[in-house]
Amino acid sequence: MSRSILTAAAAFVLATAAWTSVHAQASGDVELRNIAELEQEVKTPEGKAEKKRVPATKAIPGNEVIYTSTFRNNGKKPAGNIAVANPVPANTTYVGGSATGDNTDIAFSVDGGRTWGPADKLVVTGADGKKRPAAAADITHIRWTYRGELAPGKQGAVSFRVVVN
Amino acid sequence: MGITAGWFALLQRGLRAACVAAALFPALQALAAGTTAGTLIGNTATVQYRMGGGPMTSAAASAPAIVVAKVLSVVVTSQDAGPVGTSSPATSAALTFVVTNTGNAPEPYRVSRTDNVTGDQFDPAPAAAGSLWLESGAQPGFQASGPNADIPYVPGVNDPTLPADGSRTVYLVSDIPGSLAFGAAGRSLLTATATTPGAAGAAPGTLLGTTAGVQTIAGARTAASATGSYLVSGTAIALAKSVVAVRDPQGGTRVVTGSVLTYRIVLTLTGTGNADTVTVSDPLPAALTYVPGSLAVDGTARTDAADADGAAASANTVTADFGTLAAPAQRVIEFKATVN
Repeated sequence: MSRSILTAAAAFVLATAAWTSVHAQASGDVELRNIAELEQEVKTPEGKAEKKRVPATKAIPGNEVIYTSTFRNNGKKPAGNIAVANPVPANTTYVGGSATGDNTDIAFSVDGGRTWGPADKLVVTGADGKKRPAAAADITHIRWTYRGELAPGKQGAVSFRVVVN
Repeated sequence: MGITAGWFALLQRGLRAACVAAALFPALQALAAGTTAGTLIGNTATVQYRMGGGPMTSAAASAPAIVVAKVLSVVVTSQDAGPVGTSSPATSAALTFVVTNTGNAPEPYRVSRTDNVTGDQFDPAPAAAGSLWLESGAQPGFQASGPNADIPYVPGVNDPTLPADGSRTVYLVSDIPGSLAFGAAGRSLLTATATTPGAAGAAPGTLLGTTAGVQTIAGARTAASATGSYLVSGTAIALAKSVVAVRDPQGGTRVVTGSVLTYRIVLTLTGTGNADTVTVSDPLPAALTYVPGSLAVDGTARTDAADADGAAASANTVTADFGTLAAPAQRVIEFKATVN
C-alpha cells in the first residue's frame, strides 16, 4: 500500500490515491489524515537490511510506532493559520527528537496541551516537588504550526514516534 | 488557544501526568511487563486553520487503534541462600523457587523438574510424598501437612495461572539417597513453561495465535529454569585427651603424689554444616585435684568462674562451652591437675 511507505519527506508528493485508503474525518476544506505505522526490518534481494513501514494494528510493549498526520487543502482558496496538534497516546512514550514536519514550527506540551514550548525549555515538577527539565517521557502533546499558507491542492505532513510502554 | 485535543484525550493525558508525577523518573510503566495485553492505543490528531480570511475551522482524524498483543515471558529464580543442607538418607527435603510472569497478560504455567543435572555427586529423587508443591499462602516455607499445608502440584490440573507481574512460590521436594558422603551435592532444575500451545521452545517474536483479536507472541522467554542444590551435611565430633607434661615435686617427670599433670583435650569437628551447643565437660577423678587458674582454651587463659569466657572449672570439673561450631573445626582445652 502506498501509505506504508509514507515519510515526512515524501508526504508532499504523496499520490492522491493514498487519500482513499485511510480513515479520515473531513471538515471544511482542509482534510486531515492520521496513520500509525511500524518499521520492520526486511532483507533486500542483495541481502542488505532495509527498514519498511507497515500499518500498525498490533504492537507489543517496546515497539516503536510512527504516527503521521497529513493535511491537504481541498478548497479553492489558500488556507492559513494551520496548526496540527497530536497527543502522545496513553500507554506510550514519546521518542525524543522524533517530531518532524517540513515548513512547520514544532512546540511541545507537558501539561495536556495547556502550555506549549520548545522541548528543551519545558519544566515539570518531580515526585519530590522540585522542578526539573522535562524529559521526552513527560511530553503529552505535540503541535506543528505551518509557516505561511497552504495553496489549494497542496498538502503537508507531520510525524512523530512513540514507544509502546 | 488555537489547538486543543478532545476532552477525552486531555483527561487521559492528565491522568497519566499524575501517574508520572507519582512515579520515579523516568519510570513510566505501570507494569514491568509493559502495557496490558488487549489495550487499545488510539490517537486523534486535530488540525485548525483559516480559509481565505474566514473563521477558524478545525478537523480531526483518528489513526486506527493499535491492539497491544499478549507477550509470553517468564522468569524462575531460586530462593535458597545457598545449597540446602540435608542428611543422607532424607525424605521431603525442599528447594524453594519463585516463578514470575514477566509477560503482560495472565498465563497458566506448566512446572517441571529435572534431576539429572551435571556437575553434582547425586541425583535428588522426586519425593514420594509429592515432588512439586505450590505455596498455599498460609505460611511461608514448605509444609507438607497440617493446617497450613501447601498444595501438591499436578501438571495439567492445577497449573498456576499468574497475572502479569504476578509470581508464585514453588517447592521442589526430594528424597535424598542414603550412604552419601558429607559434602556430596545434588542439583535439581525447576522449569516453568507458558501453556499457550506452541509456546514451548518458540523463538522470541513468534506469533502463537490470536484470541478475541489479541495476538499472542512469544517474548524473551516462554520457558525459564533455575537450579537449586542439596548438600549432604553432617558433623562428627571426636575428643582426644592426653597428658602432655608431668612435673613431680622433685622437678622430675614421675607421676607421684604431688605431681602436676598437664592435660590436653582436643575436640575435632568433621563433616559439613554446623554443630550446635557444643560443650565439653571433664569431671576429674578423685585421685586428681584441679590446679586453680590453670585453664586455657586454644592457648588463651580462661578464668575458673562460670562467666562470659565460655570455660569454667568448679567442683573438680572442667567445662568449655563452644556454642555453634562450623565444621570443620578444632578446639584445644588445656588444664593442670595435681595427683593426690
